[in-house]
Amino acid sequence: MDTLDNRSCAYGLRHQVHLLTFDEDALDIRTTIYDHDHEIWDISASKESPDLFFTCYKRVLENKKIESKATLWRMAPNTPTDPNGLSEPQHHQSRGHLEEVLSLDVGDGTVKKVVWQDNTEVISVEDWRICLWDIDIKQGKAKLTGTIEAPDRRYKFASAVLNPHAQEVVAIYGRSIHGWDLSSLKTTFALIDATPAMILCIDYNPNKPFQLATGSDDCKLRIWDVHHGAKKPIMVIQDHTHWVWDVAYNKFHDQLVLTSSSDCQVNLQSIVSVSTGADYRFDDQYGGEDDMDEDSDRVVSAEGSHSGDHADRTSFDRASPEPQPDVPTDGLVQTYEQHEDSVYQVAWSTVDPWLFMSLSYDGRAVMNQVPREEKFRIIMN
Amino acid sequence: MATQAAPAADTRQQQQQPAAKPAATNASRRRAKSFLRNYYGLQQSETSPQSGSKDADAAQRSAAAKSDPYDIDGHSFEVDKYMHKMFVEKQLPGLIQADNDLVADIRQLDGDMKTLVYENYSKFLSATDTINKMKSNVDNLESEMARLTQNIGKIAASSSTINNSLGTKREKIRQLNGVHSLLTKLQFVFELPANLNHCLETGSYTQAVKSYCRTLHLLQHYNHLTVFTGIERECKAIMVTIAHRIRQNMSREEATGAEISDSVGLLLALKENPETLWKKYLELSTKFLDKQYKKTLDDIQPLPLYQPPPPATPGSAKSHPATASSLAAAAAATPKKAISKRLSKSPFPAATAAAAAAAAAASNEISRKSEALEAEKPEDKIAYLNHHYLSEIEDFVASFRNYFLLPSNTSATGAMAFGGKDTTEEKGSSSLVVVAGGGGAAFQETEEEDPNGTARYRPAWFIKETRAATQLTKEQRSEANRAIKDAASKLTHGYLDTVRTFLEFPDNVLTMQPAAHIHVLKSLQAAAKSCKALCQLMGFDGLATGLVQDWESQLVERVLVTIKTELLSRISKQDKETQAAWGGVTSSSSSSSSSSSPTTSTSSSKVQQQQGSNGGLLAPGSVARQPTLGRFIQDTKQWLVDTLCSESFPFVESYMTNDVQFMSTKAEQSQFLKTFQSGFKGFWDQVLQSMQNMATEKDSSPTISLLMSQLCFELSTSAIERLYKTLSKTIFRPGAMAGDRRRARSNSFSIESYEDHPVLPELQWDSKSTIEACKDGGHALLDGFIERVGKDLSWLIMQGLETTTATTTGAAENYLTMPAPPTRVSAAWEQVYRQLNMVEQQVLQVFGEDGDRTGAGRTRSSESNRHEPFSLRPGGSNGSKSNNNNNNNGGGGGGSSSNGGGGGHLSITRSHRNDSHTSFGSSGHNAAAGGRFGRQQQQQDLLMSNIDKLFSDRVDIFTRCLDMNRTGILFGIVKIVLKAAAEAVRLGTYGRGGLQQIQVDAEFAKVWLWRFSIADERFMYSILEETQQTAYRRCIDPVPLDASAVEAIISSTAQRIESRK
Repeated sequence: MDTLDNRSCAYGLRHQVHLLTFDEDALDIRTTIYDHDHEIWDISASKESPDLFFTCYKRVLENKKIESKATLWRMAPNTPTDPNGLSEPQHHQSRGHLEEVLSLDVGDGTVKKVVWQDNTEVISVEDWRICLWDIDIKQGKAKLTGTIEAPDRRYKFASAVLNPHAQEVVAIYGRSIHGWDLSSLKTTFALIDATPAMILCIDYNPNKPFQLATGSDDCKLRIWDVHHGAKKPIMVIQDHTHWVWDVAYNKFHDQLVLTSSSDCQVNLQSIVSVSTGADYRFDDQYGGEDDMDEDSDRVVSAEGSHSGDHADRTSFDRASPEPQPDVPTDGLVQTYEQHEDSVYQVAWSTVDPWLFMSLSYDGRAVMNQVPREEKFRIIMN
Repeated sequence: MATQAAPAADTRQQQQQPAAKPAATNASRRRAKSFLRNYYGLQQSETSPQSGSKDADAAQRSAAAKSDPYDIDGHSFEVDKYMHKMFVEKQLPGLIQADNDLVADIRQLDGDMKTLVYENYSKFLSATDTINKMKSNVDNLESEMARLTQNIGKIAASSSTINNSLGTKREKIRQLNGVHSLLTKLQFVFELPANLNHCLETGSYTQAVKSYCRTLHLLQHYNHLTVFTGIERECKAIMVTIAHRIRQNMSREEATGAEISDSVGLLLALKENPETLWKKYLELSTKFLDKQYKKTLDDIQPLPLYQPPPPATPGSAKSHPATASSLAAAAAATPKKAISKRLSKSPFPAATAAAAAAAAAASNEISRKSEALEAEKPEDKIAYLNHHYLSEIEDFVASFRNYFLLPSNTSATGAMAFGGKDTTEEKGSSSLVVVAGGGGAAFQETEEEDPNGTARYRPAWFIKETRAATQLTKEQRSEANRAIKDAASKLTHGYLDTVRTFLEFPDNVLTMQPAAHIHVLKSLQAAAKSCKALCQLMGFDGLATGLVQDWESQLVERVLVTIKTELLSRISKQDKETQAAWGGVTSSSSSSSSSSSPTTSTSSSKVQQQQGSNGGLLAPGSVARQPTLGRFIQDTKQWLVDTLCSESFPFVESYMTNDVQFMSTKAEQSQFLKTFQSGFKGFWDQVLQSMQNMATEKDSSPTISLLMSQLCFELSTSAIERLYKTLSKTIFRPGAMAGDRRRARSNSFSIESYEDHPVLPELQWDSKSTIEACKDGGHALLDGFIERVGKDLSWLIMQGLETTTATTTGAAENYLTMPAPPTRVSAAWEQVYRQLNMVEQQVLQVFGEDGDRTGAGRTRSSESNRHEPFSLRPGGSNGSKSNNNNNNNGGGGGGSSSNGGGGGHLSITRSHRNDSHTSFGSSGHNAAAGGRFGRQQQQQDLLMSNIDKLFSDRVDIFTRCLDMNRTGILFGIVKIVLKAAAEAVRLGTYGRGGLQQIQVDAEFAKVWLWRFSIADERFMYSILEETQQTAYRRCIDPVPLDASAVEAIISSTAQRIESRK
């Protein structure tokens, strides 16, 4: 199952949340439509309860002021007497409605994003601060437990991501990447002015601690290893021709990274050389070589004087970099050009490792799969 | 035809041999014929059947050939038949042709025959002469032979007589001789204790040990005789004392290296424990050498690094044959001579101990003296160092190896291999020559003992005895080996470090005198070659070569680094000047930092400041500067090429043209060339790299990247290839050895440099890749420039969108609450326009007019330039605008479309403009008319724009700029700005005022930025259109401004801009 929202940007248009359910066997998508009163800027679903999600939305008050809010919703099937039933649902569409569970009290700025920690704790990212909340879904209450102020008043927070390996939140603002410990709210690392361009998005490698991916408005995807406090990224990839708006690691194979950009493209990148896949492969090779040695020993005992040559040759073969066609390599796996407008979000399915979706400004959501060859390459190794 | 030649030869023979009988028998004639035939290489098969050939086959074959009567060359040729055939077969022309052919053939045969006759006649004449001469000589010979036989007989007779008479005495003499030698030996043995004592007193331990060692085996052999036992005992006692003395001697503080070595040799001969001995030896020598090192360093302080050789003084050179450099050269020749001399002088083994000792002493003394003589000579550091320190090390290592390391069974060959080549030994032998000549027969002992005949510093018996004594086990030997290796490497590294200090480069490497360094390196190489022991032990020559190579690469690097730094400093200087001159662009770069300031007031005030400063800077003053940047690039390029060609290359070449020993071989030269080649390549890489670094530095202006990118392009188009061409014909000239080089050098840079000379194949790859690298670097820099300027400007606009300043009230308001009819174009866009103008100026200066690079663009750009004033003039602009609007509204306006003012401008763009403008214009009016249908209409618009997008080409924003001219570069920037604006507009929410402001801004951009985006106007229009649509859709109160109102605002802004100009 894959949840993604329709980010309806046109003001005055009906705002909706679409729940797309993908049936892999039938290759069929069913849509459940939930009406939402205000324009949605971000959505994040709970990892534990599939019917819960936060939206960050904006509304205009009295033609004077823009108010930004973050609310937790529960999806509910529609009652027969739906007041909003403007259009009759088609055969693959159904309607539902949203029940408000709770709202977060947002300060002055805009709330950009809500990040789930679990069903009791969430983090909201606002313009000038990051808030830690304890939420009680049953009671419908949220309690502010801590805030992190923007370290540089010149730049708003652009986004943040949780470290899946530790109690840490990593946020981006301006050209900098900054990490805080969630319990002590102390800085864990800070890469101030890490890039020459504004950073627009960030994701944390789900399998490899300390590895981050950021996209910025110089069209570049950067992979960082923040462990050693290195000021330079360990990898820089430029395949887009405009700003990179979103980046997402595959949750199962962290060598696959998706990026979306306002050049209307979605790129699937392979960064196998810096992923956990590289580690495994290295181990495998090591083991393989040990096996090889044993083999050649056996040969020595069996063939006598000729065996020396044989052993040399085999070990040489092993050492020479054979261009094995089915080994995953670094580089662009595929470019998806189905979008006609800027692509602002990409997301991997949380259950199917090969499925992902992208959403563009014109409201088109495209679901794609990792190319079969690449899939086999990864599985085989 | 050939057969006809044969009879001709026959007749000729008759003529040539007048002595032969005429008309011999048929058989004899045939024989002669066949001879001649053989002689002339004619085929047997052509002989007539009468020739009586025994070969049946041949006969048959020839018969078959003969049977054809029409063959004009055949024997059976019949004239009549042939004629008949001809007449029958041929027409008249054919016959005439045949006749002509025949006549020609006949003439030719005639001529051939005559030639043959003449040739053979002259040969015959000369043969006759020869025979006559021989005849006369033979007569003399016989009488001479007779005399010879007689004389030899006489000699044989007298010889046998003499032999007979001497036969009896010979035996006796031989016996006596034996007795004599035995007695001498006995006497020597009996006198040994006394001698030894004498030696002990006089201190000539060498002699004592030698005598003792020689007699030792004798004594031991005969020690069953009491007489000998006594002597042995006595000798042993004395020797113990001597050994003790020797020990003391070598442990003295002031003992020299040679003394220590000698002493150790003696002790070894006395069968001391070798293990303790080598340790002691090592310790003492190390101490001594350290001392020597310090002393030498002190001594060389005042010495000059290099003394130019005095104008050839052959006499002095002869008198000091042991100078460091000539040593190696003379090494091969001298010993042989010395040995032969000595051998001739000492035919009998009648040496006395004293004489030998004296010789050793004398040799030492002489070498001292020669050293002293050398010291008087003007000496330089390296020679002194080599002489006083390196040679000591070498001595020590050589003796150590001799004593302890070389296995005894290979002693003979080892000694051979070791003989007579290294410095010290050479010194010894050459001084010995002097001794032999002046002091008389002194070294016979050595000669007798050492049948190999190699003269050595340490007498051969030492080695023999010590070898026998050195019964080190394998482990011990390897331990000693390790120890000596450690010690030696420490010592040599000290030495090499010192040498390195001689090779310091001055700051400006070009002012350096090559001679000094070359001299040092030469001496080093010579010394390294001569230090055989060190080389064998630890590859000293390898170390020295390494040092030389280090020096080479450093030299190359230094030469090029100077140029690099100079180049970069030129660029940065120019950059500073430009920054000063173009305050506007600098402020744009500073605005990127200031724009990030959070408070609105500061950034807006900055903008206003910039406006003020820019207004001033667009004054004619900047136009006067027009060609500066372009000229700077040309100047810099010229300077770079000139400097490299006229300074660096000759400088490097001067090193090669000197008679440098380490560049004497092909391999060494090519090594140097390789070093230079890679150094040169690296130079470019570094230059490009540091250009990139300069461009990305925070405080550099974007102009610098523009400058540098153009410089890179300029370099890649011609300069680099030219440089490599120059290299090919100077330094890398194939097959040019040192001599040729010097000759050719005089004109190589003046005359040839203008000729076209192909790049050498080995340089071609380098040249190509450097050009490519330069191109890439230029592109990268240019793209960096575009990106940077684009970003700066986008930032302005994005910042303006977040908060804007209404100039009338001075209060900061945002797009949501902005009052409805905007009064002017927003400041950010005006600012963008100004900056773009300035960038255009710079680009024009740096890259020149469009036509310079791409011929196609020329007419168009000039056209746009020409028409710009019209379109910008308020009146003209008005006309064109109204024209436009009329079309949009679907109204008539046909009359105004022929309005002359903006016609030239609009004729290009009108069609696109209509396409893209219609959708928004109509939707705007509809929305204004009735809100009810607005939504539906809007959705249709969305659909329409999506369909539009489907058919429009995708434009990449941040891409490599391929048109390196005004159009391409500015379009690159405009693309970035517009796209950023489109993206930024999507993030906001707008009130009516905000929407209208965006509308005005977009229309402004359409008119005023058109000039910069002629490369793809369609893109500009569509993206600006989309921006407006977005704003419309994101507006809470979407009422677009009336087109005429927009027009009014824009024209007022235009007036303001015009008036500022």
